[in-house]
Amino acid sequence: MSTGESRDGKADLLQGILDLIILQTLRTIGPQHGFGLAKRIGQIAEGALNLNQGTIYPALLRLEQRASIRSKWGVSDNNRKAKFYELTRLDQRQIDAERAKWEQMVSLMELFLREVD
Amino acid sequence: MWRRFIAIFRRNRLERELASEIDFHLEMLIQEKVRLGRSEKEALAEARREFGGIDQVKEASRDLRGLALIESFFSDCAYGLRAMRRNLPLRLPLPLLSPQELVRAPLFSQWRRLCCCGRCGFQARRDLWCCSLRIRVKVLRSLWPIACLKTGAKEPAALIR
Repeated sequence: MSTGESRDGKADLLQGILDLIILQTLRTIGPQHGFGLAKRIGQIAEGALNLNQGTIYPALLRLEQRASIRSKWGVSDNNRKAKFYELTRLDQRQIDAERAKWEQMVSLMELFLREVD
Repeated sequence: MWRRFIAIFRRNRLERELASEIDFHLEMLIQEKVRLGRSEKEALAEARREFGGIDQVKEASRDLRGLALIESFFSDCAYGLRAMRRNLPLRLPLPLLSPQELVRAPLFSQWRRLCCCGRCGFQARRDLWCCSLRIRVKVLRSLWPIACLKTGAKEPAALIR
């Protein structure tokens, strides 16, 4: 995820996907630390998302910089200090907009692929 | 943009926070693996593999904070300053290096004053930059025996400390 890589369209697309996945997961499970999020995403994707768990941290930072999420230190289930992330009120609406965009893109692709078949 | 600007000044804290987040993540992964019956060594290896490159994560976060450019600017400046310090006559000799001067100064306090004030403002600047007390003590330790020989002073070590 270097600067050079981020200029690449494929990397941008992957970033967009990961960002939306994180936001949607946070919306579903509420405030969570990086490990919890990575685990949850891994469970849902069932291995289909071939990403290192560490990738989540730059993505979380990016979302925090965009004010999509905010973080605060708390205590985990096993009494360890951990940083918890949660959605900002602002981004609840943005997720809906992003989601609508993705659904539109998916249906567009479906149309094209069906046409080719 | 504002967050990035603030991050520049909170760099150390943010780096520490990220490091402790990564530590927490790895510990959780290891605990999970151990619960599944792996040995600690295997668990550590698997956890690291699943997490991916720690340095890459840190670097990517640093890039995002917009620090890469600014950090390289400051490290270039620091390198420049270090090079300047190496090339300027900032090391010994101090004014005290002249044995005549040393011998003429009969008391430690006077020697210290000589070291501290020096001959000019440059000397004072040098004191600021180079942990003056350590160097002063070093100078006095190395020159004291000569002075003792010439002046017949007693118990120099106690005075130097």
